[in-house]
Formats: sequence, structure tokens, C-alpha cells
Amino acid sequence: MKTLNQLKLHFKDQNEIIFEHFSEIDSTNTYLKDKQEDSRNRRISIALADQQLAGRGRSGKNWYSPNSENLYVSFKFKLEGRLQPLSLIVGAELCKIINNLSEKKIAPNIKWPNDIILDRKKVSGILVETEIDNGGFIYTVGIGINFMLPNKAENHWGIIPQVKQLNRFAITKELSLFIQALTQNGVPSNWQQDWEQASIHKRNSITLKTNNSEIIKGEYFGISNTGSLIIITNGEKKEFASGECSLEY
Amino acid sequence: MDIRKIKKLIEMLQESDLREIEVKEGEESVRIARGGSIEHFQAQHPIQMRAESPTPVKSIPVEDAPSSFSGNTVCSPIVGTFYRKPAPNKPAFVEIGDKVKAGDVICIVEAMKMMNEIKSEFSGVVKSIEVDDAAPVEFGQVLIVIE
Repeated sequence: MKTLNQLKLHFKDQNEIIFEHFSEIDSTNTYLKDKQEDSRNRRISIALADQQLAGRGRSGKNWYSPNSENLYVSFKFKLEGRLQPLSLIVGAELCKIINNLSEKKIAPNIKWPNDIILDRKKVSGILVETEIDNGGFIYTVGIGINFMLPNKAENHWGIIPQVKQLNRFAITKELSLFIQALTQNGVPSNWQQDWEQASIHKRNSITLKTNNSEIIKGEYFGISNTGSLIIITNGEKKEFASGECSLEY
Repeated sequence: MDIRKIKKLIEMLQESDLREIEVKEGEESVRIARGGSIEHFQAQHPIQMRAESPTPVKSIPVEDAPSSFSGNTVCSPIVGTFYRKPAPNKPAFVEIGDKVKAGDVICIVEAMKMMNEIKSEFSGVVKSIEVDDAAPVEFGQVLIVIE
């Protein structure tokens, strides 16, 4: 673990941001999760790495993290109240950020709950880990974005083209501002609209594989305010909190 | 109304064939209902909107849990999928007979691809694990009993 920069910002309203930039680290999410003293109110911890030696996806999957222009960043912060669907909320915001920074040249979509898709390929991973803490939840949100891939990468992986203004530092800055607003004002009231705007599903047919390996086929209807997926199947609306969905293009 | 009472009602509902319980206490009343049929629960795991907890979500200790559980129960704070291990190729967080301390992570409940670590609020020994790995869980469902 080698630190390049460490920045501590204190704001008048007692908010505090701690930003650490590593040339290499095992995993930015693991690093922040293990930092116990960071779990207090009004503090946002950010860890950015040039490369991860043990980058993690969900369920113990590895996240390919070579030294490159790819983005590997994690944020840790606390929000009061019930569990918020930050996987969807951050995913929708990320689509918006990429779209804005590229001056609308690049418009990725989101597949439920939080896969960022460009040209039918997955270009970003979001790993949200939470723990319950005294009237709220502590969230550790890890974000990986591919600007480059190895030749041997599987076919369903893609990249975000690096255009002017659209790079890992610009994205980190915009995400930091978004998360700062989250900790101050809570979840934006229009997050569902933002998500639907970026959604790849529209009213198309959808297939969901549940964690019991059940296959649900139907028509995409929408998302609930808890972020769950609503599918019309056999003429009935059903909601799902878990599962892997695929699209029929 | 005390959140513990509400939790107890949910557990009573889960252990019975009832579809609905309504309780009034003075001006307060609470109605807890199962959504969908039992078949749905097993087959497709639809989410009930009652998963929206009215208060900040917490895993609630129930020292005086109904008869079927003697010991302290750790319940699911959300609707989701129960995982005993941090990753498929890793050992389980706890096994029956393990000693745990309050604050130890004992399982994960996943929802919307968010991995929610559930900590024990008790110190003791794991007496039973009430849910299979990767099975769907409902809000308030007993996950693990600690004695």
C-alpha cells in the first residue's frame, strides 16, 4: 500500500472529507470498510487507487485492476434512516456524470439494478456494502470504470472512450460532490426519474434469474421506491429485490 | 407502538396460517398482512411493500421472542437474499456452536446488489441458523438464534 496524496478538508458546517490517493492498494472498498474510525456522521472518506492488487466485485469475484487510467474509487459515509437503494441511485448519477462530462457524446444506460452498459457491454461495476449503525447505515460504495481492457477480456466487457474532460479524476470529483449532497440533503427526491431516464429496459421484455435459479420472464414495468424490480409476468405485477436480469435485444 | 411488539406480530404471522393481523392500542393501530399466496413466497419471492419499515431500520433484539425460539434472535432488517458466507469460496461467518461477540458480522442479506452485513447484537453461542444459504428472506424474519 503506497500513498501518493492525502487530503483532509474541513468545512464550516463541520463536514469533513478525507481523500486518499494510492499508487497501489489491495482493494479500496476493503481499505475503507476496515477503517473503523471513519464511521462517524458528517464525514466522507474517499480512497482512489492507480491499481488494485485484490480488486473485488460482488460475491468474491475479482475486479481486473491494472495500473492504468481505469477508475478505482470508493466512498464511505453514513446516512440516517432506512436503507437506501444506493446501488441504483449512484448508478443513475454515474450515467448522468459520464453524459455531462462527454458533452452528451457518450450516453450509457443502466441495467437493473446497477450495471452500466454502453454499446451492449458492461463498462462499470458498482459494489455497495453496508452495515447498520445507530439509526442509520454506513455505506461503502466502490466504483470501477474501464477506460481500457486487456485483449483477453471476456466479450461482455466494454470500455468508456476517454474524451476531453471525461477521465477518472473528473468523474471522482463529480461523484464526491454528489455524495456530499447526499449526506447533507438525503437522497434526491427525483432519483427514480433519473434512473428510468438512463434505464435500458423501457417497456421491453426481460428475463430475471432469481437466486434460487428460478427464471422469470415478463415485461419490464418499473422500479419501486425501494429500488426493487417490477416485472409483469403472467398478467401479474411482481417485485424482486434480488436476481440477475438479462435483456433480449 | 413499540417496534418489538410489531416484530412479534410479524413473527406470529409467519408461524401461523393467518393472512393478516390487526391490533389497536388506544389511537394507534397496526395491520400486518401477507401479500400474495404462500406459493408465491416459495416460488418467486415477490417483495411485500410492508418491507418499508416505518422507523429507522435496525436488526431488533427480541429477548422475549415467541415460544419457538429460546435465545436471542437476529432478524433480517430488509427483504432480500440471505448469505452465510462473504463469498462462495470462503468459509461461513458462523457455524452452529460458534461463540460470537456483540458486533460480530454473522451473515449478509443482499438486496439490489447491496451487500448488507448483519451484526449480532448479542454475545453468546450460535444455537441455530434458521435460513438456508442463498434463500430469500422477508423483513423481520428470524435468521440466527444466539444463546
